[in-house]
Amino acid sequence: MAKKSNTRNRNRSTKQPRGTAPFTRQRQRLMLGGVALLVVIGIVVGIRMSRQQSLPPQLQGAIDGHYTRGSAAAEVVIKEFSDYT
Amino acid sequence: MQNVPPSNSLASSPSRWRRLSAAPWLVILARLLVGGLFVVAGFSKLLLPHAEVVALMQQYTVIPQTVTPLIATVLPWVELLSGTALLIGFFTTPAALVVALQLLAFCLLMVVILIMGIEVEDCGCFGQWGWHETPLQVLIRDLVMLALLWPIIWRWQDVWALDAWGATSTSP
Amino acid sequence: MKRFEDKVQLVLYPLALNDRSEVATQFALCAGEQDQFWQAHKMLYQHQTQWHRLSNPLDRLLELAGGNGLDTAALKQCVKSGKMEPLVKADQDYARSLQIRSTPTVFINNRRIVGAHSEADFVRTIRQELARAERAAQQ
Repeated sequence: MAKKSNTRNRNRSTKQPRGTAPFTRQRQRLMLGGVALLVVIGIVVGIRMSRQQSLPPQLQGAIDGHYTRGSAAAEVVIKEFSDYT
Repeated sequence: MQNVPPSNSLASSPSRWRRLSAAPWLVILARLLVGGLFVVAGFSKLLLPHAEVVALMQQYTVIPQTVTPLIATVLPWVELLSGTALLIGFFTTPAALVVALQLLAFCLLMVVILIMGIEVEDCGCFGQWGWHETPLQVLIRDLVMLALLWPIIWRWQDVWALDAWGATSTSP
Repeated sequence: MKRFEDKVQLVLYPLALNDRSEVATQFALCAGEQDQFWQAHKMLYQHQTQWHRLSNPLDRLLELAGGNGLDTAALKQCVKSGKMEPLVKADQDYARSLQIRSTPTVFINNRRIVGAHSEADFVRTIRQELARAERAAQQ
């Protein structure tokens, strides 16, 4: 009687097959690098969004003491920052 | 990882020169300096409102006004991400090449500005943190950084770098 | 501006970016004490080439002001006393908080426009903001 193949047993082996370790390390490297870049992008996007959100309240800043033209009840307010030189 | 076998023969001096100029400590220092500067440059521009960055670039009247909004959008991200990659040693050589391309472009821009005598009040290199540098100072700084990229590109070993993650180290 | 006079308000923040424009800004604010701010404002721009490169432009500005019917003695006294310096500084701080780095910078409601743009650009933005305000009012 022919011996049954040991292929199935080999496949169930707990030993890590040769050749995948470098591939795993490469994947880990890519993931770590990708995560690092994503974190940086996330930080920048977060700061930019919070600054954009704080702009309208900041623009409500005091008009008192500044010279104006046009209607005080206007729907559109133009704030002009200009330098005389 | 690039491993160049040690050699004492004169016949192998090109590789010995490369090894000398790409000593690990020099590569780390160069990565920290150039990568760090690019991270700061990109970050500082990204913290500014887009319209301000466009205005900074419009000072350089040699750049067509139609493309300044696009450059103002893309350049800070390229600076930040290539600088970060260089800093952490991730895809170090491609990152170094991207940084080198940017530096070459900046150097060319400064040379044109100097030749044409265009007055630029603020380099805009560090956006939000507005160090006021003259075009000549910027040119010198960028040439120094280009020189610092040489040991990075020709390094024979990744040290303190993500590219070396899990790699087996060999002594020189 | 005239075509939008009843729908738009312009608020002017003279922003001094250097020593010369600090003097000019204080000069304009001091003229405001004589109810002559807008005249001084216009004069500063009309005769800009005559004073903007001088290291100490006050004397030239006073000469120009005299020709425009302003009380130059009061102006000189006001600028030299430095009483407008806190206002100038406050505007500089405010501009810094809004990340304004160059002039002119104009905010039309919350929309930032930096640099010298054509009148058409400003008019278009004003119309867009007026339309947006109208839609908001209808809701």
